[in-house]
Formats: sequence, C-alpha cells, structure tokens
Amino acid sequence: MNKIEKVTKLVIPVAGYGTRSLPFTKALPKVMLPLVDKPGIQHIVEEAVKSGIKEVVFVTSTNQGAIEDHFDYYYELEDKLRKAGKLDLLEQIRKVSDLAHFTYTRQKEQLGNAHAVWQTEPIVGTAPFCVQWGDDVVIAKKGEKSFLAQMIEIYEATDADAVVATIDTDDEGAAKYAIVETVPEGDQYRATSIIEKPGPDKTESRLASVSGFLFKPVIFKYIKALDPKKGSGGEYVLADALKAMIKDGKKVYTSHIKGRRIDIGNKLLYMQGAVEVAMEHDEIGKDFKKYLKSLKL
Amino acid sequence: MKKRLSIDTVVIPVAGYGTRALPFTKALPKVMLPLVDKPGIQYIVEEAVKSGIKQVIFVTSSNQHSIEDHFDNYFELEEKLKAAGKTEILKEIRKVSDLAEFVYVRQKEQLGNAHAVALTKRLVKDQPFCVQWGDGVVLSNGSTPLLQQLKDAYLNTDNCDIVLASIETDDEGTNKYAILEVEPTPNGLEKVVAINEKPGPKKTKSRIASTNGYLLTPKVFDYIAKLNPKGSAGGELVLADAIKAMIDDGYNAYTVRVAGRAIDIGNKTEYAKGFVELALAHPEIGPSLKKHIKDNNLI
Repeated sequence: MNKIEKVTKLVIPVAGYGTRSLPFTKALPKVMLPLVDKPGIQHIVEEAVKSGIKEVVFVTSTNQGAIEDHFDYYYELEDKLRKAGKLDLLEQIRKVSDLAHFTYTRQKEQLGNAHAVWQTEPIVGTAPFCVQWGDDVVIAKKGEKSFLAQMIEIYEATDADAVVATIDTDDEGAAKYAIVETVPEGDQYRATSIIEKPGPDKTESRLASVSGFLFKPVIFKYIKALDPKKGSGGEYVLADALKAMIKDGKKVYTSHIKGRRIDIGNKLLYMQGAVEVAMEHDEIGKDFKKYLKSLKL
Repeated sequence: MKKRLSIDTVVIPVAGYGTRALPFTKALPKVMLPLVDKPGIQYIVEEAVKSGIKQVIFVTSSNQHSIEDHFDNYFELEEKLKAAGKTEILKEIRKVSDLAEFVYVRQKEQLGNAHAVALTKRLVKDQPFCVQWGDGVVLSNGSTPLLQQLKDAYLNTDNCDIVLASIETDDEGTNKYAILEVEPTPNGLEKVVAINEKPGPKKTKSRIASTNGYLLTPKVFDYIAKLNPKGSAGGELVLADAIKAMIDDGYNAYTVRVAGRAIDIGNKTEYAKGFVELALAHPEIGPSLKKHIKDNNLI
C-alpha cells in the first residue's frame, strides 16, 4: 500500500471581476476587502498555515497586483518603520510575507471554477492539495481544528481521492450551491452524488459544497475530460468533475465545516463578518463593543 | 459685497504609508479602506462634488495607483457588465469616473502636510481652493456638505482669506488638536483671532478645535515657502503653522462647525465604528445586519 502523502499545498482562485462587491472592486481585488484592518485573504492564508500548508498557489487575473504586494517584502515601508522605532509593526508586516511560499499563475479567461484549478497543474504536480475560494474566509472557533486541517484529517484517515467541504443549507441553497448526497462509512460520510445547483425538487439532500476541497492530482484528469458545452452554466465546473469521479468509484468524502464562515463577496455576510471580527479584535474590540451597545439596536 | 469667484478645486493629500491602518495598507492606500462597499475616498469626492467642486487634485505617493484606477473608466469590466445585462451597476461605476476632473501630483518625499499642499501650487493657480485630508470622511447626511459650508462662509464674508472647519472638543482635545480663539461677527460667523497648537486645558478657555477641512487663498503658498521645518514638531512642514503665521500677519480667518458626521478612517476604532454605522444605515442590508446582531446576542 502506498504511504499517504502529506498535504502542504493550497490553491486559492482569486481571479474575476468581483461584481458583487462593486464599487470597492473597481480597482481592487475582492479578496483584499478588509475585516477591520486585515484583508480577507490574509485571514485565509493564516488559517491555512495553522493547518500545515507551506505553499500557496494563487490563481489571479488582471488588476490583482495588490495580492502579490501584500505577501511580499516592502523595503520602503520597512525602512520607515525601523527608523520610527515601530518594531512591533515591522515584525507584524514582515511576518505576512513569511507565512508561506507564494506562487502565482494567471487565469487568462474566466471559464469556470474547475478551469481556475486546472491552471495550477504544472505547479501542484503529483502532490495532493487543498483548494479554497479566495472570498470564502473560514476562521476556526477557539479549540477547534482549522478548516483545512479538518479536511486533511479525513483525507489521512481514508486515503480519499477528494474531500468536499460542506455546510447545511435549505431549499433556496439547493438552487445556489452544488448539493452532495452521502452515506455514512465508518466515522466518515462518503459522497454518492454531487449535482451543481439542482434546486429543491431533484434531491432530498441539503448538504451544500462550499469554501473548498482537497484533491489528489487525479482531479486534473477529470477536469480535462469536461466538456464545457455540456457543463453546468456552459463552464468548467468542479461539481461536474467530482460527479464523474464518484461515478468511476473514486473515494470522495465530505467534511462538515466547523469554523465561522465569512463569504466576503456577499455584502451582508461581509458586514456581519466585519462586525464580528471587530468585536473580537485585540486592539479595538472593547471600544467597539461599547459603541455597538450605545447604538441601542 | 458678493464675490464673483467660483471655488471649484479641492486638494486631497493621500500620500504616506498609512502605518496606523496596517496591515491593510501594506499594499493598498489607506483611503481605499471601504465603508461598507465604497472606498472612503469615494465618499469624500462625492461630498466635494455636492459642494460644487469640479476639479480634484490628489497628492499621491508610490503604491497609490488604485486611486487613479478607481476614478478612471475600466473598459474590460464595463464590457463584462454590459454583456451580463447589469446596467444598474454599470451606470454606478461609470459615474464614479465622471464625478469630477481628476489631477494627480506626486509627493516624492513625506515632508509634512504643508509640503503636500505646496506641490499643487501650479495647478491651483490664482483661485481660492479647498483642502481636505484623504483619511477624513465627512458625511453630510442631509446637512450642508463640508466644503459647501467652507465656501458659503468665504463667499458671504468680506475680506476673508481663510476658512477653517472646526469641532467642539473637551479638555482632553486641547492636548490633541490646534485650538482656535474666536470672536463673534455680525453675520454669525466666528472670526479666528489666534491658533494654538495643542495648548492643553489650562492655557486657553476655548474648546474649539481646528479639524480636517480648509479653504485657502493662494497666498498660503508664500507662507508655506517660508516655513522652517526645524521649527515645527516632528521636523515637518505643517499647514497649521502656515495658517497661524498668516493670522499673525493680519489675514482674516473664519471658522465653521462641521455639520456632518466625520469618520477618521485611519484610526482603527473610528473606522470600525463608521463602518458599522453605515452598514446599519444601508438600505439593502442594514435591517438584516441589525437582526443578525440581535439574534446572535452579539452585544
């Protein structure tokens, strides 16, 4: 039996116009939307590093230069902070660049979420890897395993070909997300079907695929076999590739998300998340809470 | 006597490292911090336009390109929105670029806020103009927009050379702000007779603090040129020092109290407060956010 390979790579698709978050996204990447003082994407990378991720592969498009700059050293600023004696701040921003090894690849056209993952094949190579959407921040609750660690644990226990992160949803969600059907298998849940946006009548399951995945490189074979003309929404869609994998008897399991999920591309969820992060913020949390109380909502 | 001048220019210094707002500002300008879904700087420009401003002069530095992009057309996105039939949002983002005429000048070194203002001398020419720091959003919320307040004061007063925006402060504020000594005038405005930088609570009875927002005549450039950076706090060229020198030389300065809601987006606490306030007031999501906070017993 082959030894189970450690998961140290994370693919984060961040390309796209972010039209749901306009006007902020007119000149800036959606994933740079801050939760108080920290861009959403930094929260994602920090959580990933806690899960044992060492290499982050961003799939970018035009106008996303700020992401590369954010995770790079910034000589001028560092020099300025050093001279001003602001060493704590200096260390803090230096740490952002040292979180992981960062690689960037471009998605030249927006042809679907599977198309974005496909672009990373030359970088990912033959290793298993995680995928997390750049606008889907998941922050672990105190004492809980972080989001990717949860999936990695299931992968290590089952030698899965794929793990799908899920949340419970409702009828409305059945028309919005890819819906997974599962059967229990030991301690785990194994996927028996996945359908992109089936609507409430085609399935009894209300288990939605969100936020991310873990894949063995075999996924690339299934992505390449997709026919976008027949694909959901005329695009290369991961749910379609997973469907074919399940049909071929590949081992696909689900991982139910325990952490707090903040979809920063959705204005309401972004604001809810920003308010919650502000309340727990080391520096401003106390003042902010007091203020929120004073509003007498 | 009414003046025939039209004041249609605002200078907005945005250069600098935004260290108070790190890590967000590591790769992005502080003024792009969003209040809900809109960068702070867009609120400032919108309020300026409501005040009759036609030309916005940004004083920028490295790493501030996204400001230029934000106030520019964006062909690719516009085509994409057109094809998707999202005409509403298309119109909205196009409007951002058409708000005013935008001009950019670079501040190559950070030598103080007066240094930033001085760089606009050639662009301002011989007209009075407004100055507003880029991290100070003021939302009029139905009251008179900030720059309109300054303009009204200028245009309705004979021999006015300077108008300063001000707020009421407390003992603590006298250690933080430049404090204005004022006397009333027949037309209801307050004339500024002296400015004292952070005098503390004992040295003055006044609790009127100069804040973000100035209307100045080009004469100020001469006074900035005369500033000695060694004489000021932090070794920088400070606009308040130039204004003080002008008042000492007999130039006429008046002040108006800021009518709107001021949000200092460079201060994390103030930013978060402003953010939640605007989110709660947002027509689409305010009610849901309020419900979320209540239902989850967040406070």
